[in-house]
Amino acid sequence: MEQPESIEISQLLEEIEAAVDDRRRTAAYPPELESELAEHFERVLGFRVSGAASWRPRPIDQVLSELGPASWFARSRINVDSRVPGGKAAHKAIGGITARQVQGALHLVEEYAHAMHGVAEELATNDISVANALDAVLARVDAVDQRVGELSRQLNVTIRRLGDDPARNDPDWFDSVALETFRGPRNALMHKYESIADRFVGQSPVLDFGCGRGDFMHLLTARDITTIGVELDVAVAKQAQDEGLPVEVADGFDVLARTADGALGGLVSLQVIEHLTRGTLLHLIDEARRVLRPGGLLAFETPNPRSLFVHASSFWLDATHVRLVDPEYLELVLKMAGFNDVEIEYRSPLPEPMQIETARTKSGEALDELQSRNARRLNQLVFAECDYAIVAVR
Amino acid sequence: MNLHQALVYAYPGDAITEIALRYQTVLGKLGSSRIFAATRHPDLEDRVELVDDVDPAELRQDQIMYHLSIGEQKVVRFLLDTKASLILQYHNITPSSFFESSQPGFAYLLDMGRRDLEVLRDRTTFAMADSACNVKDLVDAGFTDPQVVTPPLGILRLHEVEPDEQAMAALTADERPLVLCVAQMMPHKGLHELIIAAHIVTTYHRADVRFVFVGPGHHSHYAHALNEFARQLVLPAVEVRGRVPDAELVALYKRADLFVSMSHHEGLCVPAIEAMSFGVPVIARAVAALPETVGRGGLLLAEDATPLTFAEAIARCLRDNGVRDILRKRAEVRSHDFDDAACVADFLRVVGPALS
Repeated sequence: MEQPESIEISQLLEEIEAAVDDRRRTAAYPPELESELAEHFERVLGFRVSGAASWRPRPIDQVLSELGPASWFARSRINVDSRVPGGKAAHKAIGGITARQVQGALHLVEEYAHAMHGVAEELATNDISVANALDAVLARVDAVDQRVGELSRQLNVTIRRLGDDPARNDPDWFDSVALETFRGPRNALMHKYESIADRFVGQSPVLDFGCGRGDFMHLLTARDITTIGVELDVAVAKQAQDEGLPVEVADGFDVLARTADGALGGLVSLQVIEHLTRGTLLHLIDEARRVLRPGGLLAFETPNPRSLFVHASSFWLDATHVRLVDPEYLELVLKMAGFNDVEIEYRSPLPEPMQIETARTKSGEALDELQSRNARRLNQLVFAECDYAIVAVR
Repeated sequence: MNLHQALVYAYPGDAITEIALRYQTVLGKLGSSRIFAATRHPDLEDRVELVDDVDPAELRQDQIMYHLSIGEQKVVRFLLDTKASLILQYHNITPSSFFESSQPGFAYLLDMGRRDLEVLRDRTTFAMADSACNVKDLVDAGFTDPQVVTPPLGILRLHEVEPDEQAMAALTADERPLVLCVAQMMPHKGLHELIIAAHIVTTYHRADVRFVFVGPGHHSHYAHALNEFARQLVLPAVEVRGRVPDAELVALYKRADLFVSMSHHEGLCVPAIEAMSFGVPVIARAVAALPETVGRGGLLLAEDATPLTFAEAIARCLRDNGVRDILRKRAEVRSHDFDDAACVADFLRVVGPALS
């Protein structure tokens, strides 16, 4: 019974080794994956001076370790050798005569050394205690610092909301209400983004940059994709957190800055880049390239500037929008930043009743071919899809 | 026969203290059995005496078993002053090289522990250690014919603890595979390497695996670095919990799909034995005492196995129920070797002649 199991385990070990070799050979793992991660940890470890790491100067250790063997006293350690013939015997004889005195002196010296050892080891022990205490204090400072940041953000929101007129005193509050009002029901939004979520299968972990209430994160989670979100708006982020999503209330650029090179399989940012200035958008793209591993996926969705309806109406429903981003411009910027396989998908078509109609017969044929073509052109110019998504591979 | 024990410090929950208390219960039936320590938790005043309060002369006719794992001159001096015959129970001294750069003070105390071994050698009538790996340390230090005697580790004690209800409910509700690592938050335990393996598993194998790290020392700089490392690698599935109550630890053992140790040095590795006793498949590095501790009860990877190999092994075990079943059965069988009753019987059999 036991023998076959041994064979299975040894075979299992061989298969594991073979699988690792195979993945290395076929470059399934990025080259230098392990060493770069190990170096990254060393950088993290060395980021802050630790009490334990730097408290005690090295020379004291060396002195203490030398003190150990030197402080054990015994008569046998006293050298009685002599170059004079018969000197050794004479020394031994004198030693024998004075044995009690020598023993007494040794005992005194030994007691003194013992006390010295006690002091030295007490110093060493206290030293460790102080170093550990320093680490604990630093940990508490970190925790307090983090908590103060959270409370400060919450306090700002609360103070703003306590004003007489929320819409006047708190533009953020008004904007969040406007967002809820104009973006549409949640189910419709979820359905709209399913095709983008499908693209991220196998790309864990995925960062949702400006995740809002976490709609897209739910779609990723349902596809077994590990995801984290970052959102500036405390109230919106809390909604996502309450639904069990790992969302951090922070500036997305701070999160990107601390993220290791190549740590992400995907980065998605929906209806965010139109809130950014040109320089900030370029910085986001540079950071995305850095934090995505080779083969990682970047996806943006933003209002489509090639629709005059967007210019004239929908874009300005959100007063925090800064600028429209042209799809061709964005494609070029992504390619220049080193992204490949850039795809643009126009999305969110307007319902037909909003579009210019063509005169038709009762059977549905166009009455006037020229008018029909012009209507199509005009619809394309004025009532084109309201959004576009752009997906690129790192 | 009076067989007493000495240790450096005594506080509830400390592995060596708990072992000494278990021995005391057994030895107390055979004669007087006292415990001496340099420092002591107030809760143990009834069972542990401070060496400062004891007259060494009164122990001249007795025997004392010293639990050695770190340097402490006060206890060593006390032992030498008693003139009692000594039995050494060696619990391993971690090589100081692991701490030279990060904790030089602690490294010094470890070196002093090795010095104490030499000082006590000629006064020791019988020496034993809890693993063959540790016995080798004793041989290297010049001890004659040291024996392997596994102390009563109290593994079954955890099985009497009811799992924390809230923790158990949360763990059960989360269906993701759970990889557990229980170890002190120290660099030589290889916890940062396991986080690298976690990154590889969740990025290249399967995204839904959770990694939970449990163990004392979570306020250390190293533990903070582990948290920050996981954060920078965007690994929400990695959770560094630090020391947890027994009830929560039991919940974790009951729920875990795998126990993984990437440690580079273990004198015995009690957490691996605990995991095996709960039927959790163990993956570990074949280094120091781990091969003899885990034995056929787990999957031992090469001593120089890297995070890539550990990640591959973790992914393989998680997707292969058959492999996990084999490892689970073997783990349970292996853990019976560490039952307290068997360990105490072994102790009395081996130490008996020395006592008489």
